[in-house]
Amino acid sequence: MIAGQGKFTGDLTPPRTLYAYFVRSKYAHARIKEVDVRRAVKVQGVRAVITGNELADFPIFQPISLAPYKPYGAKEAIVYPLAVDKVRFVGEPVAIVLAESKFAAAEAASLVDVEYDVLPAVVDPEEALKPVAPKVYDHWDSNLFMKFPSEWGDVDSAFKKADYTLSDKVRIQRFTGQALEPRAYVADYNVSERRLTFYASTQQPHPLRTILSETLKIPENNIRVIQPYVGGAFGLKIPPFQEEVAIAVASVKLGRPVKWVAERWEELLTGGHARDQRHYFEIAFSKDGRLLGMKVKIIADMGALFPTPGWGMPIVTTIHLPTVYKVENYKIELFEVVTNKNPLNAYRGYGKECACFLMERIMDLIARKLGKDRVEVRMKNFIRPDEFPARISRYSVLDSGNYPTVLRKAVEIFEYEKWLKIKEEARKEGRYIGIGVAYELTPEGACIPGSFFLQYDAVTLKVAPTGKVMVYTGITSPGNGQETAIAQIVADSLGVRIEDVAVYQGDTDLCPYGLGNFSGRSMITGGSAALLASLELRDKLRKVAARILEVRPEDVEISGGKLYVREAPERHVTTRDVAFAVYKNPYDLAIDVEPGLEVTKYFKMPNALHVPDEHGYTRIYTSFPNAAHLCAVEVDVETGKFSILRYVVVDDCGKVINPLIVEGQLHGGIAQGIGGAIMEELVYSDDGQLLTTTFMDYPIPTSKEVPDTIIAHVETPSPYTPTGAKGVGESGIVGAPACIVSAVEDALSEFGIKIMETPIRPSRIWKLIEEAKKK
Amino acid sequence: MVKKVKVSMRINGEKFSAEIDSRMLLCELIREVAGLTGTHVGCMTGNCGACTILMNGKTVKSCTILAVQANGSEITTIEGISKDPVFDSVQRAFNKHYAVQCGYCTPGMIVTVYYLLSRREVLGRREIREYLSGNLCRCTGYQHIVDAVEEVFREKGLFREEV
Amino acid sequence: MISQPFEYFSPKSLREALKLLDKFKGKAKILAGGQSLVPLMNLGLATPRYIIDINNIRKLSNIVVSENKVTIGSLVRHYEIAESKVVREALLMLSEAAGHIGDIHVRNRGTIGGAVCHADPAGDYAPVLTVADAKFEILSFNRRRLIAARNFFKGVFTTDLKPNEMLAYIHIPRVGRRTGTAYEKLEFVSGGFAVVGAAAIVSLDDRGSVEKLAISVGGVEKRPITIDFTDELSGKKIEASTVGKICAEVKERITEPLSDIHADGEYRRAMSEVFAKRALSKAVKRALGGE
Repeated sequence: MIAGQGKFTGDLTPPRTLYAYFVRSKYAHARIKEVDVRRAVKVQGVRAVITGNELADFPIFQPISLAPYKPYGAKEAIVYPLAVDKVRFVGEPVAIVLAESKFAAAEAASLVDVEYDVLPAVVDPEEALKPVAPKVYDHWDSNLFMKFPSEWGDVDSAFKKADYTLSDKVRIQRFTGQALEPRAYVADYNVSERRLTFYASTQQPHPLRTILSETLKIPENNIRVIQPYVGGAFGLKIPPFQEEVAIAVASVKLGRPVKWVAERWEELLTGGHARDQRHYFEIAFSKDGRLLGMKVKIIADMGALFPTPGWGMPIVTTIHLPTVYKVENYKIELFEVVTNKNPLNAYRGYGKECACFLMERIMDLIARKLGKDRVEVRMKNFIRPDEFPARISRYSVLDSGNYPTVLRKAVEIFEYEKWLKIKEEARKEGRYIGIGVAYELTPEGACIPGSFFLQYDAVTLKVAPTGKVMVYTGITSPGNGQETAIAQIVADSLGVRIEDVAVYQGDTDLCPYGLGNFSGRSMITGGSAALLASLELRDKLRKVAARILEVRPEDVEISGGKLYVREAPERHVTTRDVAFAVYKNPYDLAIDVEPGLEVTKYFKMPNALHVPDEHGYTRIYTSFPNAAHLCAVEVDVETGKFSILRYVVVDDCGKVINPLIVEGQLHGGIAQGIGGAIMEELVYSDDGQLLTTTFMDYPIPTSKEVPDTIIAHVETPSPYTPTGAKGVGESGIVGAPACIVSAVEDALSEFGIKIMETPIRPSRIWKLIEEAKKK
Repeated sequence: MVKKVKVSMRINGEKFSAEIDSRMLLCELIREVAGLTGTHVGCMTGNCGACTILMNGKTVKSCTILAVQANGSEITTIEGISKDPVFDSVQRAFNKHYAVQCGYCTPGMIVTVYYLLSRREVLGRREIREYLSGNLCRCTGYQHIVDAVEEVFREKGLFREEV
Repeated sequence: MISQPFEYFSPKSLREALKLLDKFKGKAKILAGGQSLVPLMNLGLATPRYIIDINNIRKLSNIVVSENKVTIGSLVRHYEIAESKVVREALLMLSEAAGHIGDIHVRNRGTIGGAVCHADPAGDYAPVLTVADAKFEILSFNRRRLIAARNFFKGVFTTDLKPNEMLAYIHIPRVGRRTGTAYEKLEFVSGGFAVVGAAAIVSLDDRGSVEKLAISVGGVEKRPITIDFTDELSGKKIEASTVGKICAEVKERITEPLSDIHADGEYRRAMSEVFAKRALSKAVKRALGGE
């Protein structure tokens, strides 16, 4: 990998490959009158131009069933590989050019003449809800996709009893993950075998196979999806994309391999957006700082609706409020609205960061109103360690946790008291230092009914006659190193060296059906399945070893590549000896066991609940890592620019299997959180043009913007996973924006500034300071 | 009719010539004609640095250079660098500090580190962060990469502690 | 990826390049470091029919010192300007500006001529060269002319260059003793273009009174806003209040500030004052031998 030998999808070019280039809509909302390909097909090397109408028989299979959401009004929207009749966002694919060279394809694409009847576009979700708004879907009665409630207790009486109430609005901008590797697909249809091989930069090879089969009407046993190395994903490579299906169809139609690699501007347009939520809230609290009740109205902008799971994000926000705090009365209403912006896809954080940002802003508001310390207010409101399992909504039960210990440890490591003094001293010198506090809850192990987002997964484990081990997983790695952790689990339980374990992932012909990678599930499900499979084969190895060593199986220990007698370790056989015996001596040494050393095990998280209990309650998420963030910033009040002086995270992701990998995930998550807090924003013009389509307009943090971070752990094991791990894939990103905003606000406390939206660009902070000065 | 142009250069010490479309970028020639896919492409606007290579001994972003412009030049890619003895210590440090997650930015990072080592300038963490700022990484949050680079520079006696 | 075909030329001499430029009139683009042009071509935002690559014209890569000026070829790379001892001594703020451009890789390849001719309002060189009263030597097939930097920048991506002309050399003055220069830049993300970039030059006489004082601010309007305060302040001492007053004047002069998603006009205008002050204070300190 380091030497550049790792193969990514874009590195593959089978013989006779045709290159694809998409013709994309220039308008946010328009009817397609005519697509004229005459000029395009004349370009030398062009083999075909396919337009939307030609693929109108291939509506993309919707992998998430809308049935559970029908009671909330969920509406259907059919998406085709290429736009049919109407385009609903800038960049929507309208036609695809296939040519012998990518230059010919791109040149020809610029010569496809599309005649549009431009319609008024709606780009603001609150405008979209007005009766006069243009309709994104002609057959819907409004732009409201669904209205989803979450209620608890008696919110009205809580407000009546409270010492204080206040209301405000929190807005989180639209932004996105932008993995460094753009999406890439290579479809290779073998006409004589009627077999499609599809190489994809994806997070879910098996579900993608099912989607392609259902969409293309190719029997699923004639499709093989291969996921080469993936250069980052962060949720945004969850299928299905229009481009994915279009490339597959093109290969089937032309009987040749077809390759497409997205360019960055295409990624920023159609690679999946996220966030874009407004939260109007009222809170009621007591004079000692207890949050007694809250009313929240969430407006979430879905852009155009897509089969990707983007629309689940605001639901996840909704069902996890009030996060780690015990609030016995609340009423939350979520309005999911469609507009003529680009579709959403899952992005690391998946709505949890919005819930965290809202709750943390609320905690700071309470502290400020009451003149109390922000750490203290959080301590007062935490769910106590003895209150787990703790149901926080009709849909969610927190498994375990020890929030006060985690926060206390963070306060100690950060040297909170010392920094309060530093801050004070600095103020005397005219410098503005602020301290940020935030507590994140990062629900993991999503288990969405009727979808491919569930908490089971599989491992096929094989021990070869020579004792070497092969692990085939249904989970995949987008580059988070979990294959190393899986190898470690297997090596430990089979007593072999980690070098003797090979992990294979991302090939639907080799691996058991699994759901890939999302929601921090790799270790929860894949790690657990690996453990179950290893234990089964270990038993078998022990049984055979016992016969060879002439002892009882329970007297045999396994480690260091050896199986030995517990009481007399010098009496031993190697794993290799035993494996050879299983394969070569089925009628003597291995007479007690079934031949072969292969097993497939599925692990299913036990604590999801889809059949509602007697109260009508369910459980959608299964694991609840959490973390405390503390940081110090210094703001240049002349410019609004600030620098991060210190950043501490104490994280509780349950049992830490590999500390370096866990830290790597946290560092990466924090960096993305910082990007979202301070600079990343997808900005639209009033007519729906995306103005941020390069890394110049959409900067992401460099090594200079991200500070060195101090990380420590508290380990509260998951009661439900065999390893005790809770997942760490989305930690860090959830709390970072809240922590940074808290710090900047604190630095500027003498101006009395409130920061209720991100990103906090210097220009915005400066404006807040100027406005405050005028008051 | 697109005119083809002839180019010849040295890539990783070996003579290389081809007849190419003048539109071809240097990163495309390296990847698609020379078949050296270790050089990655991430943005095509000279921002991300995934395509960083050495051209006549200096780092450049190969998506901002036409392939034909490399005519007569000396190109070194990650594949070339990985044969240099210096690479071993860089690789060891990157592995030890888990400085590689998805691996997409890694070749560009390594080319940059190799170049920085060739300048023999003494660096502190702050300068390492400064010099790596032309290579974007979306997975690691940079800290483990900076740790690895620090270790490499320390081994070579080129690291300076900061207060 | 570049979708539109073009014809590529790589002249070895200036004469040859100018001849091609003359022949293709407005349809040709000069390619120097390509750090702006090639990305624009990749995005389909520039679609030249002919590319004239000047990288093989050796003499454009030189930095030549003469008695009272330094001549920088248009092909000199940013890193050379940032590191050149000659340039640092002649005009420190020019090295500072070069060191602020992009990142090490961009500076290894990008050229001063290319950056200047691209005329991005947020470019780092324009305010420096303007305030330093640099002269641009412009060539066409049958003509050579000199133009002052302040007359060269016309607007957003627009210069005084005619389609058949190219910028060959930039002549910068070698500032004397008791002269200080400084460039201060506001960028939101490292390697980004300047939200505001301010350049200041101050010359003092041996009693510490002003002989020359000028400020130029880039990034704020379509072209650098340059104000020469020499007449106003000549013979006077510089007090803190003077700095404040003239920087407020810089802000007053900005009437049509640029606005984009990162920073609106009001902010840029305010920042022009802040950064003018920072650049000027530094330049004064340097003029007094303080740094």
